[in-house]
Amino acid sequence: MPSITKLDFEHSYKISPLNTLQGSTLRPMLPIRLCYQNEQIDINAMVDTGADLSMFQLDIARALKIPDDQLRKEKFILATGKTDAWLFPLDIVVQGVQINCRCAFIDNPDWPNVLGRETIFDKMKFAFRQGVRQFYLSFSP
Amino acid sequence: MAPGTLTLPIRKQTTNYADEAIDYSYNTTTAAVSKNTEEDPAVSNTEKSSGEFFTGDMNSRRIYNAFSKSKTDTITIEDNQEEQDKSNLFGSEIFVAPLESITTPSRNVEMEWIDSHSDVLKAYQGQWVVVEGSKLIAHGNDFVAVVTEAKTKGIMIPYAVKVPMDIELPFIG
Repeated sequence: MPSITKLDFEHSYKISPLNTLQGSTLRPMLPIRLCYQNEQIDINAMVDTGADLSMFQLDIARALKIPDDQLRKEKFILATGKTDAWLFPLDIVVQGVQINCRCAFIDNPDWPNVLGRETIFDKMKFAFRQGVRQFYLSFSP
Repeated sequence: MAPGTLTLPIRKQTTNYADEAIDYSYNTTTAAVSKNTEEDPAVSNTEKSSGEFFTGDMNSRRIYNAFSKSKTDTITIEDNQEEQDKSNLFGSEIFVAPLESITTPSRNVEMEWIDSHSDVLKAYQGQWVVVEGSKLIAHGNDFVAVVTEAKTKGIMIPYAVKVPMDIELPFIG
């Protein structure tokens, strides 16, 4: 008989519908805090299992007052092809837990801020139940 | 300091927590994190049990980022010059967050207010809004300007949310 692993989750979040040109969609948006030195901003970011890295709009780096010379330009692949983005190791706080995580900043005001797998998925686990419009988060392994 | 050991600079901070002044200074006597072992060096047993020490492990740089309520902690990284050089790609200063930044508000109040006030927010479609509690603090198309305005109004950690349009474009990440 196969063993069954039960996972417990500490935090639950609602998935709110969003209207798009192709119909209603659901995005798991997580409130997070981004920190650089004394600057802190809270935003919502979409938990994106398909993204290698967490990627935010470049304006967020500007609002956090990260010096330009500390941002490292790199190439990334998006659905539209290759693009430039700027890397920086940022402190991200989720539910009181701070994680230093390599993030990319993209100069595109339409970009939905996303939490990708690198570091984030090492430190926390997620479960998605889109059918009941909820997702769950826990820091336990 | 042992040869091949790099101690990264840690910013010292003093903050108040529960009416107790806590000195966030660090010494070099407690913990050593080795990177050349089979075990995951990111989290030591002590750190696992305390749950208060988290690290980011990146391909090109290791960052050992610490926060603790104890009065002294140590971060010593065994490293070599090559790793040190790589770390300089991003600058090697480690920021130790003040305690107040560790606790993230759930923002449940703001999220519920946003969910239940779509009629109010209709006027701000496509804009960034800063919401604090059940109050709309600032809005506009320029994220930096909106955040700056909120801070001038006394909101030191603005919660900025982009109000969706009636019809958004779908995202294929």
